Order: sequence, then C-alpha cells, then structure tokens
Amino acid sequence: MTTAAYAIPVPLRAPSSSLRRMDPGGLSDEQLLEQVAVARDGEAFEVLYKRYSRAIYSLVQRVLRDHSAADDASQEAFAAVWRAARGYRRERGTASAWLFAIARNAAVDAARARVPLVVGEAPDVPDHGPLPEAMAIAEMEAFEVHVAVDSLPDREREVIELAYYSGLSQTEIADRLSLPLGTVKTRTRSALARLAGVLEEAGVMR
Amino acid sequence: MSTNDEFERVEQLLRSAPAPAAVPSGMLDVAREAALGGPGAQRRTVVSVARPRVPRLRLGRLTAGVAVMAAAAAAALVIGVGGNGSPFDAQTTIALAGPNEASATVDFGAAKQGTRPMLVKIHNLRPAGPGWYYEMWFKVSNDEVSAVTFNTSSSGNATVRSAISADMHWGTCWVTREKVGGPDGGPVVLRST
Repeated sequence: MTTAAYAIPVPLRAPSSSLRRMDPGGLSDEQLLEQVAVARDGEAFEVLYKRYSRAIYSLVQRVLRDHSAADDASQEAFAAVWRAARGYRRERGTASAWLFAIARNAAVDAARARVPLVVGEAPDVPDHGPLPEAMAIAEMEAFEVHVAVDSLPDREREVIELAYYSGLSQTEIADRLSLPLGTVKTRTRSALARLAGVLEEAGVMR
Repeated sequence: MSTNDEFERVEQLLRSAPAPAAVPSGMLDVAREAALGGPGAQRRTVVSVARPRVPRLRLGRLTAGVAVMAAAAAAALVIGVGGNGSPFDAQTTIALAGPNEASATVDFGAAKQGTRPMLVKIHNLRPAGPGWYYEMWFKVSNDEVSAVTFNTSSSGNATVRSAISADMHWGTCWVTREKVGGPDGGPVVLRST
C-alpha cells in the first residue's frame, strides 16, 4: 500500500534536556503544546490548562478589569491555544511566552470589542504613567511569576502565597499553618531557590 | 548572580506582581468544551477539533472521482470541523469495536453545503501515548481516506467532531494507531461492526 500524503504530520521533537515544570507524565510545556498541535491531545491540553489557568486569568483580568469579560476572554484564550498550537515554534521562544502572547491578544481583542468610549479632547498635560513598553514588561513578569508559583509543590506554594500575596510574616504563617517557624523558613528558602531556577529559564531574572 | 542576589530578585518579582486572581470554578470544563467541543462551547467561537490538515488518501492511484471527494472532504475539515457545540442531529449511526471493550460510534448528520457533519464518540480506548495518535479511516471504492485524528483522555474516552464530503460513499470504517511522523498503516484498534 502506498501513501499519497496531502499533509505530513509534524514530527514531535526529541525530549529536551532542559525541560521546564515537569508534570507527573514527564512532559514539558513545549512538549505538551506539540502534543496538542500534532495529536490533538485533550489530556495534554488539560495539563497546560492546570499549569497556566491562574496566570492567564489574572493577566486577562488585569487588562479588562471586569470579571465577566475576563471569563469570556480566558475561555477564548484557551480555545485559541487549542486552535493555534500548530503555530508554536520552539525555536522562537518558550511555550510560556507564546501562551502569554495568546492570552494578552485575547484580552486586548475583548477590550477592543467593548462599546467604544466617547472620545473627548485629549488633556493638555503630560502623562506620567508607565510607558507601554514598561507596562508590557511588567505584565510579562507578573505572568511568569504566577506560572512559576503555581509550579511549586503545594507546601512551598502555600508559604509563598501567604507571605507575598497575603502579607503575613513568617511567624504569622507558622501560626496559621501550625508549623514550627524553622519549617516555614526552610520551605520559604526552598521555594525561593526553586522560583529562581524557573524564572531564570523564563528569562525574567535579569 | 549569587544566591542572595537571586533571592532578592525573586522577592522583588514576587512583590511587584499583583496577587493572582482566583480562577472561577468550572472554568476548566468551559475551556475544555470551548476547545474540544461540547455543550459549553455554544456561546463561543467554532473550534477545530480534528488536526487542521488536509485529509490524506493512501492509495496506489488517485482516481478523478476520489480526488474530488478528497478535495471536498479537505474543505470540510478545514472549514467545518469542530462544530459550535450545538446539539447533534444524527441521521445515521455506525458502531466500531475493538479489543478490551474499546468501542466507538460515529453519528452522521444531515448534509449541508456539500458536507456532512459527523460526531465520533470513543470509549475505553487507552490514550495513544506520547508521540502517537489515533486516526479514523474510511474505505471509499479502493481507496482509504483519512477523516479525523484524535487522542483519548486518561479515561479512554474522546468526543470529536468532523465532517466528510456529503457525497462520499464509503464501505467500511476503522481506526488505527499511528506514530507521529511515521508511515501510515498502524495497527487497527477499532473496526466497524
């Protein structure tokens, strides 16, 4: 039997030696995206969702500042991941950066689709707010931080979130979790080391 | 960068990033349905569920008639695959079976604009595994036409929507397990009964 192939499946790449955020199945984000692209693998899609849902939802909500719109835009972002996975090229950047771009585009598209504001005359005063480039960098860094925090083991993620998102001191965390203070310090240090590694690979440690 | 410098930078990043928002419960189901098709996808954009590529024929000689059907099927896959999650009105259903209680049904809907939608439901078929996927084929005259590729979840189930040419008359249907980038002709895991 011969084959007249109208399209040839793109071969999966060999496993990389620098895999990021390994899941129990052992696939990196990049490999998962390739699984989604080539094999239309729903399970790989769900693993990606679990790794990125909070970062994507947070990003979209920051852009739109509206829960309902953020729900729709996040949903559209993940649908776009499924649709556009074939467009991902590992040599052009990390899966994380690609997902950030997909999510940001979904948010921006949603913002543009809103009822346009009545445009008045521009105020004749300088805008001292952050420049668009600085805002984009800040969004990207926040996205990578959220993804990195979500990649931590639960017990480390817990102390990091209580310390940096809830503003608790280490003593307060120890009380809250009924743990010795030394354990909280150890977990915090271990988490920071792990985060440094992940964020270094994501290119935001500079 | 020393360890202390690294920790300082990480702490700086943690402090400058706003606390992440809580993802609404049920978002995964909605996202999954939006991507893979299903009832929750109704309010969202049409999403391809089959690999977005032109279906292949594996045959010795491509006859003119089959070439037309292939082109139509290709158009169907590119344009119509996925569906919008609306209820599927099946006009015909075929069953497939395989070892270890693996089974599938293929519902065919009414032809519309030269294509016929189909809804494939797979049960008890273990995931193809990394680097592998499943492919559904139809026998059309003496040719084998690839209709859709898919994979199953860890539960062994999958639901995919696709379409074939409205005037495609096929004889049998089967599913093979194929290696990504490998030659066609993998082992048959499901066959029409």
